[in-house]
Amino acid sequence: MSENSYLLEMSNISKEFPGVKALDNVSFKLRKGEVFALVGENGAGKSTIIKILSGFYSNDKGEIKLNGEKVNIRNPKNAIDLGINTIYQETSLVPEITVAENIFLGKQPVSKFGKVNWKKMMQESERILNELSIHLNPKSLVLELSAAQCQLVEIAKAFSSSAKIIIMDEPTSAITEEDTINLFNLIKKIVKTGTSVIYISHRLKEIFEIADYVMVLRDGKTVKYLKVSETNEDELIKYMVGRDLGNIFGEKSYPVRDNIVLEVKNLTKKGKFENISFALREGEILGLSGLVGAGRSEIVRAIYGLDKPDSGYIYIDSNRVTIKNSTHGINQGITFVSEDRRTESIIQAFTVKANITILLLKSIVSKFGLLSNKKENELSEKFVREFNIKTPSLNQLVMNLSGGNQQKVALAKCLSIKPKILILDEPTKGIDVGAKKEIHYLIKELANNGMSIILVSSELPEIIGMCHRVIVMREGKLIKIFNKNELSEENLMAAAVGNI
Amino acid sequence: MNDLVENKKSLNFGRGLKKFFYDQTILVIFIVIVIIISIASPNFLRISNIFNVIRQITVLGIMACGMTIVVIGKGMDLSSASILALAAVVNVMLQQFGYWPAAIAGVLVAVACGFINGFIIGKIKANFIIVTLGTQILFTSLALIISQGRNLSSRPEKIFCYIADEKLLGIPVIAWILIIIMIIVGILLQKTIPGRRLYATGLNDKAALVAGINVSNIITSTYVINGFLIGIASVVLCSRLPRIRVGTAADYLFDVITVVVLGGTSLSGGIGNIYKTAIGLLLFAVINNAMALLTVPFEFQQLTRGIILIIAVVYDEFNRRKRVLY
Repeated sequence: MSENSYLLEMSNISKEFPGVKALDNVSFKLRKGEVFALVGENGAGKSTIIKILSGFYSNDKGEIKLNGEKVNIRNPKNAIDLGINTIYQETSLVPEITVAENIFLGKQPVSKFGKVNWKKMMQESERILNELSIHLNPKSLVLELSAAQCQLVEIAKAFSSSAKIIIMDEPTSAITEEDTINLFNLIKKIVKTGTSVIYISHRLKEIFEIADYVMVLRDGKTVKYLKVSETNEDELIKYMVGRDLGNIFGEKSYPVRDNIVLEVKNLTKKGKFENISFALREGEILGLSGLVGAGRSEIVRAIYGLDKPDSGYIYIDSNRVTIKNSTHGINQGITFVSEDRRTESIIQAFTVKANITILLLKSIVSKFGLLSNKKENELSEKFVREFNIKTPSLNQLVMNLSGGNQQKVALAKCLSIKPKILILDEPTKGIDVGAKKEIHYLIKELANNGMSIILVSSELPEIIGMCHRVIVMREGKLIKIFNKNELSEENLMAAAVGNI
Repeated sequence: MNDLVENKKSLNFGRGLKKFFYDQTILVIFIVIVIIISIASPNFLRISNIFNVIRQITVLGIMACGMTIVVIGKGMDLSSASILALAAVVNVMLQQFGYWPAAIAGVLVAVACGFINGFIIGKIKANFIIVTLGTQILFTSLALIISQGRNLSSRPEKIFCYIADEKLLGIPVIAWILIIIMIIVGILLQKTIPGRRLYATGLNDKAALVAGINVSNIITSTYVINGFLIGIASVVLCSRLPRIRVGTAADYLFDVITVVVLGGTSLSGGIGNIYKTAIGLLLFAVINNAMALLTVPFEFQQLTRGIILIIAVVYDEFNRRKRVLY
């Protein structure tokens, strides 16, 4: 293969869905051992490119060449056979089996007589996990892992097969900065062996750390194709949104009132978190930081009533409350946006309006106690406008919206009942810069108007930019509560990894 | 400019028509089959035959309403026909104490059976297939034990004879009962808070839980309501048939499931409604009636029914995949 030959050539690819032109004449080329980044807001067409390359969609127009030969990627298996491996945002692991079995799914080492060689599988898995610095037991079941740990296993799985191209769709959205560094070292290593990587991320910083070329997409069209060394972050953002965004986080001028809205005392759930005590004030944004698996999500789930703590007390407005299930949580004025947007925050096959009104059904009832279409439309229309949700109609199924708009629907749902306390678990995970900024602005507005907010986030700039105080967790323990003037990436990271 | 608008309109109309055929596949098939059969068998469109069909499908239709609710909640009740048998047997055995108490006792027994299913599936969260497979045998055996395996004669009182034989506004009373139940269940599903919560639960029970919906109560109540509707069906059955045999009642299971699936209520939960079930019921009834009129041998009738159910289920699966991939 000569220097100039390309591993992958995508020429004039177009793809249309009913009502949407998802891709319009997009072309790019990928050399061997190159990291190629795709950026753009949600709905820009990145996912469609990935799905075409991984065999889920076929392109309407254009051609794909692999090693100079025209190929037709018929289905996902075909893509893998061609050497194109994809790591998705949402895990595709089998939860009921072990980590090792998942890594070797469909390619288990066998001994004579076709028996699975378990010993070899475990050893190999352990070797791969060690190489990636993933601290997981190959024998643990995937269903016991957190979403982030699943992502790590997924990466290990792709690395273990000899792929020519690895597509990573938001690989860092669920992992911590420490894991990100490991991942990048690893990407650099595998790129040297001649594997190419197509990298999709909303975190532009990462692009500059890892990628050679970057293509900016907007509304299904190529806006710009750039050498990474010849551009900068601001320029990329400008191309992505078509306008200047200014400082991402703005000023933290909103005041915190003195009265305590929520107090947690010695909350403990064995194996998840222990002896957690903190207070949340009116109008405060309290951050929950720490590595994935530190017990952050588990605490907020317990406060909302999705998990039952073993011991400890919860006080709301100084009254002790028992929150046994999410109905109790909601009745206490708490709402919760889950980290798992696809399966927990929204109902994919429900319409936009049905998702928005699900907590507020009582208020859209007409005389005779029946649901009123008119009231439902009015109410949901108000939220669609207020939150700038981009949807062709109120009756659109939420699964057809982009990630950012899905998240806005989830937020609208939670805010529909005007909660006192809003719990957000990774609210901007996998969301484009534009929508992210809108959501940040919204959170500040809410706090400003007196809502108390708990924000769980793996993204340090977000936590630091948004929160009044930040709790850092490690291995289920509360390490330290940082005040506003102590907030820095170094301080939080040091506490999270145990250098404090 | 005007041309453009016109073009767009006709395009929309074309799309609308396409969407209609896509959404209403079953209705279209139903109409086509009705036309074919009316040509093949002149008896088919006679009023007496149509009323006969309606009388035959009432029990099935009421049960299908209950099953639709259960299936929307991502469940299935394999014991429904056994509940019918048990409720009917209790009803007939108690008729010596008066028909009303007997009918009410039958309904209560059916509700209790539904609660047993619902409790084990909704609260304990055991697998619905196995639970209702177990209760299927359980309820059938109870019915056999109580009736001692005999054929029982049902001697309904006046009002129940009226239901079975008379007409109101030119339509059999029995058909009115089915129509009213369908309207009530339809409203319950589409227009009430529990109905909306049921759809949410059927589509995604995790998200429903996060949204503060008491998922296990919802699931339990689907089986209880199903039991209640089967109870009503048992009263109709005992009014209509002079002789009740456990086996006859138990035969309904296959038909109920076929009607619901044929209508297009999805086995993966959260999708479906009573309108679909009504169309499924009509289609199923017409095919059955046609086979009877054309004197198709019994074995071939059964063969056809089997094929229909398989086609319906395959069609459901294709629809589901289309949804997921888009």
